[in-house]
Amino acid sequence: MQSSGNPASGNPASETLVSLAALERRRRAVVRAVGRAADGTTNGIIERRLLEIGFEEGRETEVRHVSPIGDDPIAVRIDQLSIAIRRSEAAFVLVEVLAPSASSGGSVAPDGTTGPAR
Amino acid sequence: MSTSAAVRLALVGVPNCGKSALFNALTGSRQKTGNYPGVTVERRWGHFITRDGRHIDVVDLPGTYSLDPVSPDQQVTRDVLLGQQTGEHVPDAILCVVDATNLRVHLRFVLQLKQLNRPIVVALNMMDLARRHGIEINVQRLSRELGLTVVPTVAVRRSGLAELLERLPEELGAVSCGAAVDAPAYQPPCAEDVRALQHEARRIANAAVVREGVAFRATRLIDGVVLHRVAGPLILLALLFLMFQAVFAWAETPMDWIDGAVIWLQGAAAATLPEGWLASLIADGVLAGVGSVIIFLPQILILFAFVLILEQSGYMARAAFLMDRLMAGVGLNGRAFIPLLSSFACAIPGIMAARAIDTPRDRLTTILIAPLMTCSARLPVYTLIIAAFIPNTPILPGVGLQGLVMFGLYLIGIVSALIVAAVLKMTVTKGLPQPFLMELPKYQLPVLRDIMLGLYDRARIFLRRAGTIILISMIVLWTLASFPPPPADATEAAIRYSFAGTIGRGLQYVFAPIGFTWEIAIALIPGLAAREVAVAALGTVYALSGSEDAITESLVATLQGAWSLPTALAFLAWYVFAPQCLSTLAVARRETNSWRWPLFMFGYLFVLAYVAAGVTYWSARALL
Repeated sequence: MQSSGNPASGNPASETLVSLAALERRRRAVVRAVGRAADGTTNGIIERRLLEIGFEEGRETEVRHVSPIGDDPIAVRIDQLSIAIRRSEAAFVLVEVLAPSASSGGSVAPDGTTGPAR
Repeated sequence: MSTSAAVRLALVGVPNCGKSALFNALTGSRQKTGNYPGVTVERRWGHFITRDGRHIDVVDLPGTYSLDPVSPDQQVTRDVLLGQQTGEHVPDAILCVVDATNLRVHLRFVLQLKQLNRPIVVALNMMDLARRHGIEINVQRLSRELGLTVVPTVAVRRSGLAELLERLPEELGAVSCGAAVDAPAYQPPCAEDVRALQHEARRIANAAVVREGVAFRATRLIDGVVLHRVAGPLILLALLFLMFQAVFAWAETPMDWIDGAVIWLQGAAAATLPEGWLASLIADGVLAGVGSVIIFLPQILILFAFVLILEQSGYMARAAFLMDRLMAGVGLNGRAFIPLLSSFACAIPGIMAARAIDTPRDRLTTILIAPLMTCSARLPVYTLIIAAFIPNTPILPGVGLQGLVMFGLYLIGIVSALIVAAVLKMTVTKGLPQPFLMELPKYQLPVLRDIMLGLYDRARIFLRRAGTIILISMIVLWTLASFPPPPADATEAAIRYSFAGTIGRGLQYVFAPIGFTWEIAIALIPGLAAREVAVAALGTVYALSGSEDAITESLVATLQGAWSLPTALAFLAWYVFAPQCLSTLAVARRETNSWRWPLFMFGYLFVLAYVAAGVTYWSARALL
């Protein structure tokens, strides 16, 4: 994550974390906390289920699709996994937003070619 | 398939790991489905023989992410593995299926299983997919790190089976066949334990994976289209339209064949048996009744073929994603979409499919509203009444009034289901909104063999139902309608003098306020056994005989003369809600494990049907 050289992402302090529910579509991020919401609330049951399905601290994530009706649920990618999740549960995943990489220039990023950073 | 000498093997895995495909590959047609006693989860088991001739009884346990269940399905997996499931022995060994393209998540479950201290063999499945996407796994290393036998497989292509059959006995060597084993001890983990396992799983995955793959490009590209904000819902609608079109159009020919066969059998029975009550029982009771049900087999199979293909390809999860918000509006989640869709064929498989819903309250709500989806058994009733009373005036090019009314009846069913769900969620199944968290699996080409096995299974369940409950109710109905025989100087239809006639005239007082005649009241009784039987019953009531086609044809004319338009419309409205067929109630009782909910279901549907028919009758009388 330090490789980006962006001053904001060099310091994973709590204030730079946003909830996965609030993450912009197609913006890459790294999972920093599972089971904790932005306001500090925790939920053990949701935490366990999130962990079981594949959410884990340190994994790369991205919101790929948003439901056509009411923008909820969302489909997120964690590494190569694709998971459908309601925003109410996604709120319990805190992520650190990665700076847009220089390689994917336009806003219309080509599908599927953005693997994890070398 | 004796079990005494066979090794008991449990097949487990995370959802979407290809476990069922492996089960099918191992057992082929030597598999059976049933139910676990007490709970209502489908039990699939089968039998195969290893290279060295050992007999293995394998049970296919529901997919789960951990031994800490969130749904009744997963509860069974846990209970069987821990030896706490009634009627099921602790398995001698475990065959755990792991998706090679998603090792990190799947290995965590393997590590949890290891804590049970049972012999475990890991089937590293979907190796072809992994290879195709540039994922390279050092199987020896994985096996060493796990301390378990690991066999690479491609279940859908039956590859790796030979090695699996060869290596299984090594692992089972120490297992004494079916010997009593102590139930393994198990402590449910806290989130920290899950993290620790996850950490270890990642370490092993990192060690064993030589090369990370590239992204699953095809899946991403397809998702870019089918989950698109505009295209996504349109594609879903188009698929649903195609499905219903197929159910009605493609089924026509095989349905004609079945009809022909039944007529031939009736003729043969009449020709061979001496004229009298036995010939009548066989031809008019048994053959007519059972035939009127079996005729729906083609429609049910076509619908199930669609459902199975959508499920196996991975699209169903996308449909659930697209539908989730709509379902959330009435307090359900996207997963309820699949059971409700199946209910258009028949509420029974729909109610059974509700097992996959992970919260008991949502599952109950889904079960309770499943009968409101217009099942194919209501079609003959709709077809008959529409043909008799609705003129086929063209409304739009290619759209006639009859088709529009049919569509409207479907729509009323769906809308009422949503309303009922919302009301139930505010009252009897009240609770906090439940999480919706679901993996969107990689797309895969469906495997014909697996689909055929699935269809075979459905067909068997359906035919068994036709052979038992419907057969019995047809015999009972025939008896009620035939005895006592009419007096010699009878002036009216014979049935009027029978028990059925007496019952119908009694019920008339209940149904007169909503415009139903005593003939309709009689037909409603067998309609409770199975809705479609109502058509045959109306035939009996109006003293018609002959083939079903002939009955329907002459019924159209008879009904036109006997019923007023408001009565006909009220009858249609009644059948939108039609309180249940017996088999649906029986399945609901099995699935909810009490009589409380099926009785509630019967009650609320009866009230809805009565009110809907009444409102229709009186407003039609006022307006027309």
